[in-house]
Amino acid sequence: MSAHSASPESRSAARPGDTRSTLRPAAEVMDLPRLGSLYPFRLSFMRVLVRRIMSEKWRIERTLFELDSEGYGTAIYEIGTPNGIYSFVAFAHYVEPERRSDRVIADRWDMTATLCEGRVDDEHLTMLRENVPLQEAGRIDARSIVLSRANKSVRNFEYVVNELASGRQPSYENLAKVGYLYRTTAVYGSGKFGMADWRKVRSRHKDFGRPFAAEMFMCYMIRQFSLEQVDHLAQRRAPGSAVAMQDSIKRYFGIGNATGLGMAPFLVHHPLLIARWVEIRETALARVVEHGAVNPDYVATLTVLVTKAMQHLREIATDNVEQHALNVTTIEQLGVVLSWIESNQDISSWQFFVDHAARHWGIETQELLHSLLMELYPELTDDLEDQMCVDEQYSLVPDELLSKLKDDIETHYGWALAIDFSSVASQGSFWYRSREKLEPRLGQSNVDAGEDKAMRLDVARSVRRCHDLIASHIAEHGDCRVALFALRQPAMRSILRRIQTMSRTTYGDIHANLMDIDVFPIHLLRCKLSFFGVSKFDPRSRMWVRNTMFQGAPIAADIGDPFADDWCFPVMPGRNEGETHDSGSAD
Amino acid sequence: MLKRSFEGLGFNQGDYEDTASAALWLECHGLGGLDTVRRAWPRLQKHTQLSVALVTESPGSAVLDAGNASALICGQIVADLVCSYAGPASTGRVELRSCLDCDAVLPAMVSCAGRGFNVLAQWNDQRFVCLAQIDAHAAYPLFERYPATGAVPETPSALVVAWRPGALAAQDLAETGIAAPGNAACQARITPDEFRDRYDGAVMHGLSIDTSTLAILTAAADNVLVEATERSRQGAGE
Repeated sequence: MSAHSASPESRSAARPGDTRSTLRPAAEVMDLPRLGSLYPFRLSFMRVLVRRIMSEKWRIERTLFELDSEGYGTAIYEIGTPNGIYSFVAFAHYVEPERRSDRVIADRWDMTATLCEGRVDDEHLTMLRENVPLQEAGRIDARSIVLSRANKSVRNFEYVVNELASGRQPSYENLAKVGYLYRTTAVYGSGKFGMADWRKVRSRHKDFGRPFAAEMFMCYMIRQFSLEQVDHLAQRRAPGSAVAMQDSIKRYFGIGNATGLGMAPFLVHHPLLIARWVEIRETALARVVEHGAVNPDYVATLTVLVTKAMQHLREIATDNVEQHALNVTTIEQLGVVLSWIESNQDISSWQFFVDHAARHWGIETQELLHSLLMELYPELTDDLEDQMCVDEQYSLVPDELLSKLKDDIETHYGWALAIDFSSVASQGSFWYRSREKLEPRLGQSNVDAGEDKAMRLDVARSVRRCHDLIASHIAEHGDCRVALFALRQPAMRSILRRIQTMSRTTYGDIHANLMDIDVFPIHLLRCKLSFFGVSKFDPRSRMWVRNTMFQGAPIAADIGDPFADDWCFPVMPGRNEGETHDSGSAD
Repeated sequence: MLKRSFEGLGFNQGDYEDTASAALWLECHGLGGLDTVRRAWPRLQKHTQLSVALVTESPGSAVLDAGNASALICGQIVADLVCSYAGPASTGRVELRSCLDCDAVLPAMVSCAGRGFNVLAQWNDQRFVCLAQIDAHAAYPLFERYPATGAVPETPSALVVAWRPGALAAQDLAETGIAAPGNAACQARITPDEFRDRYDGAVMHGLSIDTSTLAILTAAADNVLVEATERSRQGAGE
């Protein structure tokens, strides 16, 4: 992509907050199916992390690589940043094929790893070796920031090792269906199992002081390890004939990920954070739509990006019928988009373009186009990457009058009040934690066991109850301050805090009844994953999804080279008709 | 973990959030939050439904009766109420009677300060009298402990006063009924800077928990878990 810049006029006008009038309304943006149609964008956490790694020239150095001829053993990488030193410590294990599982309830994995602050001495390594492979069953300390594990894509892994051992490079075609060697099955942070609390990470480790930055880096390092492990294995198997994998092929490998229901409660438990992420995304979009200069160069670049995105979607292999149909439809509509652009070279504004998209194309296509539009104007968007954090305080506004709160509920939670909770379907599901590793599961009301232990994810129903109690209270006792109502109705304290806090945000809560019998949890997963920056969503059911992280991103060897930051929507090298050069630096 | 433990005891959502938060605050600031939980456990098991009675209410003040519940669970109620009573130029004042573990008033005071109130509090636990003060928007309070003198009250109680900065003249503070901190008889004193250091230490190095307390908390937390079955595994998308 060529380096465009906004006009001086638009740049001077592009200030946070200027775009409030053009932000899309919450009713549109927070609708769950739309959130479930989001695509990664410039401010997704992986993109931000890679920009940081490349601009600050992080040093990633292998300091220990004691793997045997089967690839099992220990590896340590030292990471140097402008702010500190970290260690990525990985243990590669043998796993009986019948015990390999991506489910959270598994207890053996092909590799386990942790990201620690500082250097690791022998004593520390011994402790990690005893605990990291146990994952949830182990105990580590506050020097660790992230804990994770991953399983091999056995077919890909063996194919790649065999090819390299035979002196051949793996072919892109054979890698197209599964673009990774390993897939992570859990990535833990934020104080779990004795690890550093988020407060420590945010205050002491500036490099990872953005949401999920450390977790994303862990995945990046697992990818790096996987690429070096296959080189090592090939060399050990055939020292005379083996070749190292070419960097251009390495870049095409991402790291796989399997995400299940565990991610869904996070979005309900952290509404302020989610509302902030959405607001930042929408602010970036609004800046582009409002201030992004439209000229033939930008239109041409958008055409290249649309073409690349079409190819990216074509290369997604999914057995999920619904997702496949969505991808096909989106590809078709992107073809129409290209024709429309061709016949509307005199596009007057991006507002005109997105309005046309909203009227004529599906929400997947719309949201994809929004992500692509943001690619055009890094100077209008990238400063927002520092604003993804929020101090999550949910406080009562105790002196507010109850009548005012009732009005606020009707204004900001009209979507919840519109749900008919007398219908059986509206309360047909419940969420609970299984004794198997606390795994969140979805049950059917009045059918499955555990309803009495349901997780408190019923935001919409709680809002309804709260609103009704407030109305009754006002009718019986007159108006009063919220603090007094909370004293009389202590069971409402949590939802009161939530309502008052979220009513003061631009986007508020996600508009969804998660208790509905037809709830589609995968929308929640995809929403969060899009902010992570993953691609190639491959739903395995309505409750879990496989996807790919960092595919197309620079590898460690690229650090220090010129970086175009154009690795979004990765495609097989040479397959993007609109592109003028390969992504990443030359080999 | 703490939240899940109190949820497992049967607390309402707001109550388990507040109780866990108060216990964690005390632990992170070196005031034995986990020990308090351990000591209070029988009462926490008994008082799973928060029931704080409004004894009297007058403009700007109220008297509450906690019925011998722990301040871990009801401290935040006091914070919310006292802030609602404090007017632009007047104090809010809440007395909480029959309340145990009153050190848990401290995190409630921090929450008032976060909303822009100066707060002064005093409580007795029949052996000591404690004073605490925090300025509006400050993160850490001043805490002092004195030996109890005179008649020992029948049950512990706490008095919390809050006001907007500038809303109260210094001489009016005397009318709050709370002694000014800094008395020579003070047995123990923790300054805001010391609280900050304790908190930073906890964040830096983490917290430890003894195995018996962990076992109690884990057993309670287990109450929210549902036995796994083949059918339930389908509920994870298998």
